[in-house]
Amino acid sequence: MTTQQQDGGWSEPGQQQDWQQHHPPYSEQQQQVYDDRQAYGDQQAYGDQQAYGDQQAYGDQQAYGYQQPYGGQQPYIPQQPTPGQQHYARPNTGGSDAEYYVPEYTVVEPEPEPEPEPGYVLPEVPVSAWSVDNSRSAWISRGVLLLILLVQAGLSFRLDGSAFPQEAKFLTSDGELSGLVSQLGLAGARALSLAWALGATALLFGATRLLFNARAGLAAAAMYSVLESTAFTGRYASPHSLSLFLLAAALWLLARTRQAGPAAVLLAAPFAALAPFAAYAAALYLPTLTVLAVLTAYRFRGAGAFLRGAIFAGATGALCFAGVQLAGTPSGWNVKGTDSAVELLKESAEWGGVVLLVAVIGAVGFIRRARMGEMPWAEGGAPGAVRRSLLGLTMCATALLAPLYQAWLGNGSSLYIHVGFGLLFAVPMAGLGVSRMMGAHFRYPQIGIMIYVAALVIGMAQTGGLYRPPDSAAMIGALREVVDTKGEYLTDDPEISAYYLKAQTKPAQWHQAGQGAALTAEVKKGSYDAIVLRTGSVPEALRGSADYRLLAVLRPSDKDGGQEPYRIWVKR
Amino acid sequence: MIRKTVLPLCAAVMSLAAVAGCGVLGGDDPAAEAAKKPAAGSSSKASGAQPPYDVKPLLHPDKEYFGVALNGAPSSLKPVDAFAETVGKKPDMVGSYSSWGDGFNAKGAQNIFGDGGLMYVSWEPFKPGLDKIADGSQDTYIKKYADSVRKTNVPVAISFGHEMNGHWYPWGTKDTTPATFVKAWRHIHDVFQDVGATNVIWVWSPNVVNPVPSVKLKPYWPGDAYVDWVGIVGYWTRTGAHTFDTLYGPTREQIDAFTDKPVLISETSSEPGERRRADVRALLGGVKADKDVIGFLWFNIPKRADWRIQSSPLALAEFKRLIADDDFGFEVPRS
Repeated sequence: MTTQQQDGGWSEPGQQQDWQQHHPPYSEQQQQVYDDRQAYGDQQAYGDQQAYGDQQAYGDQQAYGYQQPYGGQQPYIPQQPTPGQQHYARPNTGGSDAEYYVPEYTVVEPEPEPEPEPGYVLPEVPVSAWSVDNSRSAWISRGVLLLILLVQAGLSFRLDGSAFPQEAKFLTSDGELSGLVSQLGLAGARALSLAWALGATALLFGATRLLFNARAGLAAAAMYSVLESTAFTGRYASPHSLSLFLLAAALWLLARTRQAGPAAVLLAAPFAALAPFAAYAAALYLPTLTVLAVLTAYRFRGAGAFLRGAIFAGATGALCFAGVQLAGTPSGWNVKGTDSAVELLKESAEWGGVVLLVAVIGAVGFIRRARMGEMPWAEGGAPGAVRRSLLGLTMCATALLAPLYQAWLGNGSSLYIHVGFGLLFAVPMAGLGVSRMMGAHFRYPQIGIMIYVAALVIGMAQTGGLYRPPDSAAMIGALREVVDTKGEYLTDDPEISAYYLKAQTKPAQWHQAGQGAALTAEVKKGSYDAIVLRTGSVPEALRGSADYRLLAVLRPSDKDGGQEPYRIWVKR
Repeated sequence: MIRKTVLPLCAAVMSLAAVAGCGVLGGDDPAAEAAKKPAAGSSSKASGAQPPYDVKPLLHPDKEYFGVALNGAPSSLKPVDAFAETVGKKPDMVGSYSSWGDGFNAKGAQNIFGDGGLMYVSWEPFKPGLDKIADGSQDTYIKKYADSVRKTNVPVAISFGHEMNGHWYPWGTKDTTPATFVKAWRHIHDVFQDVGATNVIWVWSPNVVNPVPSVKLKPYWPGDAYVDWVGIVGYWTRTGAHTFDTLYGPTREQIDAFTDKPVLISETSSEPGERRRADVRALLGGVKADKDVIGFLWFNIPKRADWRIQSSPLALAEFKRLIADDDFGFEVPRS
């Protein structure tokens, strides 16, 4: 028998007709045969059919196909010949088949074929369409990230002006790092800061993507990129930007090595350890990184996670200790001041409040549900409630470190920059928050857009207000005519003068001017060849001075900028 | 694997390069420019970028100022040009009078500076009284005036309340005290300093003491820090002193006791008459000879008398002859 025969039997009614016509008297006999075949079972009867391969399914169909119609119309239904039938057909010429039917062979059970070893096993299918790490979605994410970075660069380039005193100080100091950077000049150093800032945003995206998903990562990067502190730091020639980059790199490496063995966390330690040496404010965040080292450990729960944290803390601590031995303690980290704590906290809330609020929303959402429920049937590993709570709490609380610490010190110096250090850690949660508020399948994109636009506008307005470097161009231009290599100069901005007039003077010729009585004493001494003050009116010490005459009053070109004019006095 | 790492890296490098490129293009640092360029070069950016005029080189000039007060000047330069043609030399200082309450004649100041000289303003506080000026109630006006002076950014000599030792002006000895005068003077000066009008040469200008010998000058002196020049108003009249020493000597004697500021004969002329020629000779000779005297300002306006030099041909000839001396007149430095 061939397949052709079998199929042909079904498809050509004429032949069936024929067959029926030729053998009408044996209809009963046929029924008998059919029952026999049933006894063989569906497949045994087709023992030889195995050879036909995928015809197996056909065989099944056949078996059912016969059974049901036979119930009603037994004698006349055409029937497919089977091996058994072929066999019976021969003795048709004689009488009852039961008498002479002798099976000529025995049916052998076919040996089941062994299951083949799988050559390839499909990986676990991720739960959300967006987190499918295929090339297309990855490129979409990168494209969006690039846009975010371009916006960030634009927000930084919006800011312009001459050097801040701290920038000038950094560019004239003879440290190894600043020595290299000062070769670039102010514009070059600022561009380098922007590069670090963009790198930090990209790493933040990467870390958030690894910890949560790409959507949260993009939202986090978008939120972070429009912060006042981000735009400011990206246009500030100082090591702050580098320090942020190092922290972001450490965070990313923690996320990257979350599935590896505990020792892999050592990769993150050098970055974390270097950060405080770039900017002391980063030291506040080493504990956060240690906690995150524990909480982000994915594969090793329990002891493994704590081991990971311990390795990170130990390595970072050892490197910091070595750094302190080599380079000395970074200075300025514990200088007390007289700024109002309430005022500092209020300012911090203005600078980072929106992001922190969104982060708290994200953390609450994350604690309640590990996943948004975009695909309710999705299963897979997710952190437990305790770990989620701790992660949410750690990330949100970190944003408060710098404001609380500086409020306690009463020292608001550079707080508008330091706020960004803490927000770097809270922003992943904010990204998650935006992602959650937009809802499954971007159901409420307007919420995300609203938050982004609000953060953008607030950030731009705040940066515009904060980024007001002294308009020193006119002062420098006038002083250039006054100074020489021997004179001693008293000024409110010695760093700026020393930096810009480095071709004409040495930094040691510039002295910081005092205020009130100290200034009066300095003026009375009469040992300075020029005095440069930034003041709205002539100070009492110089009113009617017999030694000094007012050479020039130089107003900032931006009259609404709120800056006091520079006043230059020279010896009479 | 390569695609996975290299492409993002390329994208990152490209965007950074773009950003850095912007940085190079957009990285203008006005202060760095100011530190390099000559001051004049920076004027292309904005008029505000021009450094304030420093009057110091004008305070002790090597040569003598040759000033003149003319009707119609300095709002117009025509009278100045006509006078220059008459005497054969262009004056480098032009006098003007400004009553308290008047705006500063910025155009006049720029006219004269553009012509190589500087404007000399006699600021006459006729109205509110020196005590009002001293107590700050006139500050709005003073500030406005000072700001106008600052904005012109050309040198201006200001003589506030001249002839304060005489009794003929409302700010004179009759209605006010020396202390009030000094207080008002210092107050005006302070306001100018606060506003930043540093392009002013302050001229303290008493009348010669001869007609008012009982009035001592020292109580009127605001102090070295508040005055740049001592101006002396002294006319050569028919009945008065006729030598440089006798006309100005007694006044200068008093002044020498409390200051060594340079002296300008800030208002003078000779009354028409027979001695006019001799007066001119004495004046110009005295100015040239005395190293402490830095020049004179000729009052060439008919007022009560015809003080114009051209009204006496002989005196004019003598004036022309003497003023031709290279020591008289010079171009005021441009910056």
